[in-house]
Amino acid sequence: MSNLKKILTRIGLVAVIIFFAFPFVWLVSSSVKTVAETLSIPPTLVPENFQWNNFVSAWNSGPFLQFLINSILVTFGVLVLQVITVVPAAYAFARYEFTGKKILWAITLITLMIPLQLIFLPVFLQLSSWGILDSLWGLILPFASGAFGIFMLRQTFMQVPNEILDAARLDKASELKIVWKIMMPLSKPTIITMLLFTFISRWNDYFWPLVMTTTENARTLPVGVAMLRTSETGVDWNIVMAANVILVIPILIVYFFAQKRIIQAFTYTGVK
Amino acid sequence: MAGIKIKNVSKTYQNTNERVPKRIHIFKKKIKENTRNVQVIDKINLDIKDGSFTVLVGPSGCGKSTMLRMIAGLEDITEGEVWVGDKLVNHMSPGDRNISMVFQNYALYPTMTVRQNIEFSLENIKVPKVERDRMVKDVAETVGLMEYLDTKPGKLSGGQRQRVALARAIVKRPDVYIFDEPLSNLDAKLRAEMRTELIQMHEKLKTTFIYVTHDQVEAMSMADEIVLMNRGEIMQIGSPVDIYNDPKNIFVAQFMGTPSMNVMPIGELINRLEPHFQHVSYFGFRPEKGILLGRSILHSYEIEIASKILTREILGAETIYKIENKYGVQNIKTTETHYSLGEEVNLCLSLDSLYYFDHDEQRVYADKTVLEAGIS
Ligand SMILES: Nc1ncnc2c1ncn2[C@@H]1O[C@H](COP(=O)(O)OP(=O)(O)OP(=O)(O)O)[C@@H](O)[C@H]1O
Ligand SMILES: [Mg+2]
Repeated sequence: MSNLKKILTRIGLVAVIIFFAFPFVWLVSSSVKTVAETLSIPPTLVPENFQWNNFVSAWNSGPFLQFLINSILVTFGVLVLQVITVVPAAYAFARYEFTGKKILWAITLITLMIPLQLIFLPVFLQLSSWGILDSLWGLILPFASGAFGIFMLRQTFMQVPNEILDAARLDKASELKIVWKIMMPLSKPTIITMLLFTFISRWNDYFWPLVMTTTENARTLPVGVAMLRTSETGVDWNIVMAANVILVIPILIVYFFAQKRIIQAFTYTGVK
Repeated sequence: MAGIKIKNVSKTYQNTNERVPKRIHIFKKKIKENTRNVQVIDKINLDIKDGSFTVLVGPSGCGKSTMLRMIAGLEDITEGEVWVGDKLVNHMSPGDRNISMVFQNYALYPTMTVRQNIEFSLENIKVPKVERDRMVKDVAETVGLMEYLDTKPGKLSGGQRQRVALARAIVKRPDVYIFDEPLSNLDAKLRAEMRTELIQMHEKLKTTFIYVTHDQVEAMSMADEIVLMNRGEIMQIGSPVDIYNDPKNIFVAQFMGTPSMNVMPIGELINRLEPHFQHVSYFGFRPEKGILLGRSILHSYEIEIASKILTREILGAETIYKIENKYGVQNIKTTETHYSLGEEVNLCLSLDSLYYFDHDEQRVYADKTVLEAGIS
């Protein structure tokens, strides 16, 4: 009986995995097909012969090096700025009493609920008045802080027992040192998770760079990849897919290394 | 080293929001928008001598931790002055007061190794690395932590963690040590051991120790001086023997000693006091001063009260009887084990073992002037 149950569970799990993995497998498989095969009916899951060349073609079908560099600069720019802004904000919200705290906290939470599409116009006008449209700054600054990160990190900071901070103050540690040597190491899983989410959302973001950039100077990979589809010669699906694979590889690598921390962050039960 | 002077210190917590349940405001709109001030320390004066081992003791919530935290600088002082040595420290930050504190839950830095925990304070005052290593090693040897220097606190037992906390406190060579119930997370045996070690540590360092506990055994066995607090006020200051033998009021009398002092309305015993002690309202005696004797036995104690055994609790060396008589119910501690439940006995007391208290529960020294004995 329990064996049967086990088998059924396994089958269920496999079904779920297939359901979620299929698009990805399809993407990878298509990226090494010929154009003809991508359109063949019935479709093939394993390509007849592997067209590794597709990746080269994809790379060469636009200024992809520029896109890659832009993507990296934007993503890491955002990550660095987020650490600089989110950590102190979360610490202040978690550990200080100050006038206006409640209002500021409410404002922070509200920004979580407003979709970007609603406020992009005013932000666009703002950036335009600063003259940083179509520049990397225009892609970085609007994401220099994040309510989600502040929220998550504040929760984690609040779990740190007061006495630990008291002990540190008696040990003559500055507030900066307390944050750096005590709070941040204790919140490592949360910080890594927060950075990972930011990384994925910035790396994959299509909407914002599309709206804010007009030339190749500041375009990022997702926009570059999307542009392949609109080329006048018609869509070469295998090339588009190959470009997409290039796009997701960094995410896979990062996820692979951060996996353990993410699980920790979500099963985190407090500081012992 | 330094003594501590506490002058007229009060502490009021301004409780805004959170702690006051919301619905109160709906019914009492006129209460000033959810602020409620709680005074937890009320004009305390206290002089802690340099090099003394002072124990603050009192029931839960009486303000012991608050006092400590004000001395350490972790809590604002609402009113009054705190002096450490010859420095007024009211506005000095905790790190500048040269005070070490040991907490009940150890409060170690979880992500640092034992070594890093101990040297954190030295690092912050920029002691050179070589010097630091030597100091850490010295201290680790004293508290017996040498082999754990590179371990993280999470892997240590409660006793070991408390040792790390001690090491961290000692390495700073502070003027004052402050302990907030440091042993209450340890089991009984370890607690007894650590108690001895702390006493030895104090003897060796000869620095001022301020120690908070709500365990009266700890207070009695460790203190040079006990400060007994209740509801933010000091009830009595004195040596353990003073506090035990010469309590100034019913609260102190009943706080120290297990079982606590039997205190009863004076009843017809008032007739045995001289006329000018008519304001005495209560009398009391310690459980170990009561003597139980069989009804039929001939004896001549100054006071004998016909009583009945209610319960018996054999603790090994001693037995505690609960007895009942016309004055109420009392505990008696004795080595006798042979009285059975319901047995009729005489409770015998000598007059000089009695304490008297007035209507306000303050001590009345009527001892010497009690009229000579007769059978009651
Ligand atoms: N931050 C605070 N805000 C409001 N009231 C507080 C605060 N901290 C403590 N109190 C109150 O002050 C009083 C004294 O607290 P304190 O922690 O000093 O007691 P304590 O004597 O140390 O008790 P225990 O033996 O339980 O540790 C308590 O009634 C407590 O509710
Ligand atoms: Mg306390």
